[in-house]
This record gives sequence, structure tokens and C-alpha cells, in this order.
Amino acid sequence: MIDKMTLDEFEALLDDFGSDISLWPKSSQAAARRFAVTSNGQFLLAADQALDGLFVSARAVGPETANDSNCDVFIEKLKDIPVYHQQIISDVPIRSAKKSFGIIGRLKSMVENSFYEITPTALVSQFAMFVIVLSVGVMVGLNSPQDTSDYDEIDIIETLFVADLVYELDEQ
Amino acid sequence: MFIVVQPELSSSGDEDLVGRIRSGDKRAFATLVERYGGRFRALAYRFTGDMALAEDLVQEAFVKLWTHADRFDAQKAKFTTWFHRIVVNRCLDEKRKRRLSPLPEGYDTPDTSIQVDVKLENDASNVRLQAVLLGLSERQRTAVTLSYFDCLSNQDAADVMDLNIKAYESLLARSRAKMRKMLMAEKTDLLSAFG
Repeated sequence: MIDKMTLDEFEALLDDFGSDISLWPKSSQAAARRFAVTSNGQFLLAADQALDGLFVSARAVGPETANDSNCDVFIEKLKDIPVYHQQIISDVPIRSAKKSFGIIGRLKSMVENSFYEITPTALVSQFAMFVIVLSVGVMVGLNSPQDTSDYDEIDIIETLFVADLVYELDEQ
Repeated sequence: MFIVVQPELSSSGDEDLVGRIRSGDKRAFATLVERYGGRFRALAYRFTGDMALAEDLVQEAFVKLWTHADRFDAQKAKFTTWFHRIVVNRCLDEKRKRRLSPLPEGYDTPDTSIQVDVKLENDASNVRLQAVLLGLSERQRTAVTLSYFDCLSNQDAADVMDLNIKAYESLLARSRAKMRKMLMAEKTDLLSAFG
């Protein structure tokens, strides 16, 4: 139980619990009530209550509670947003912001992230381009005449068998 | 254009509605607009002091909600916390931008038009409150606005400001103490002026 209260202690409790002393900690209520009747206490409490009063009256005339017909017009305007704006919703799931460590980890997350960013259209067009390039390459290859003028055909196997035969004959 | 809000949607949770918006449900969007349009308009007005600007910023946030509903992750935050962050951050950005914009020619000549912050309300107590709020830092003003005007719980306001509850409560207590001191100084000045 606190016997005597200083101005600073009273002010600190006022900041924490408001001007209603019955809501303050039980151990300080008696000392607070004694301080509240002093001129300093009265001055502090009056200022705090005046502040509460300002909030109440400001809210009463403010846009929070005022019967404002412009607000209804504004609400109707907001409801029209879907008419004038197209949704940009991606199918990409929300990824957790996991931190990657090391070069391999960073590379792995880079690959994972870029995979999320590839759209099906991009994937199809990449595949189509791959097929086109491959077909053109094959066609060019097939249509080119075979050029055998630079070399003579050598049967390596034949040479090898001959070499083996010579070696065996030498052994004998 | 009139969209009839069906009863089963009006009783749906915010997060459920955002899920429906994601799949292009316009009625779900209308339900969220009905639920929060006015509240966020008032909140943005408290931050900017300019109703036209407040409406633009809130509209921008709702456009973002419609076009990018997939960015909301119900497992990470409540819809209101997420949307508060969008609106509050946008308002603060806009305020900073306006503060940094170059001064117009002849800025030092007496301005006969009503100042933005004073224009907030013609009501005397509101003008007085605005004057006191101007003495706070941006973070303190944000905390006061969320708690006393938007009436968010301390936990929700702490989430919006990305603070832990203790830090938020301490910020709010300091803001309140500063405001009270300003009011006390005002009263002392008045008393000394009258002898």
C-alpha cells in the first residue's frame, strides 16, 4: 500500500489508466485519491478529462458519426470499382519467405522462383520454338549432299586382324 | 448501379469475403465496401485533413483490394489490420509528399483561405484538438488516431503499426501525456493573460 504519492507517480498512473481512479491498481488508489484533492492533482485530472471531452466532441461532429450524404455517394462509387477495373489475380501460390543459404541454396531458390514465374503460354511457346529449330536443323542436314572427297574409306577392323595375324605368326 | 447484398454474405467474415473477391465475386466486394467504406474514409480524413484526398486514397486502396486480392494472406493477418496498414501508410506517404513539395510562389503572403488542418472541422473543440494533435510526432498522432478516432483495440492498433503491445501502450501513454501538457500550458497561458 502506497502512503504518499508524488506528482510524477500520479501523472504516470494517469497516463496508464486514465482519469478514473477506481480503475487504478488497488494499492495506489488511496494515495491517489489524497493527491487528487490537491491543486496539482485537480489540475492534472481536469486536463485529462478535458482531453477526453475533446475526443468525444470531435468524434460526435466528425466523419465517424456524422450523417453524411456524401458518404453514401462515395460508397456507391466504391461499389462500381469492379465495373471499371480488371482483376489481376495470379495463380501463383503465396510463397513463404524462406531464406536460402550458400551458393547452391541460392541457385536452387532462383530456379524455384523462376519456375513460378513461367506462365503456361511461355512454356508452350518455348517448346514450339525448340521444335521449329530442331526441324530446321534436321531438314538442312538431310538436304545437304554427302561429301566424301576429302578422305578414303579405311576398314580399321581389317587392319587390326592383319596386325594380330602377323603377331601370332611371329610368336610361333 | 445497384448491387443487392445478400443476407448470407453480410454475415460472412471479412477473410471469407476476401476469398470470394479473389474469385471475382462482386457482391462480396460490395459487402466489404458497405462494411468499411465509411470507416476508412473517416480515418483517412483524420490523417489528411482533406476529404477529397481522403476519398481518393481510400478508393485507391479498394481498387487494390479488388485487383490484387490474392496479396492478402489470411494466415498472416486479419483483413482489417492488413487494410488499415494499406490506408494508413498511403495517407502518411501522401502527407510526407505534400510536406516536401516545393513552396508555391508568394507562399509568404498572408493566406486568407482556411488552412488544411484548421479546416478539418469548424467546430471549436475539434479545432482545438487539431492544434494539440499537431504538437505530436507522426507516430504519436497515428497511435492517437487509431485508438481515439478509429477506436481500435490496443492490440489491433499495435498490429497496424507493427509494434508489440507494450511498445504501443507506452507510445499511446506518452502521446496522451504530451497532449495533456499542451492543454495545461494553454490553460496556464490563459489564466496568466487574465492576471
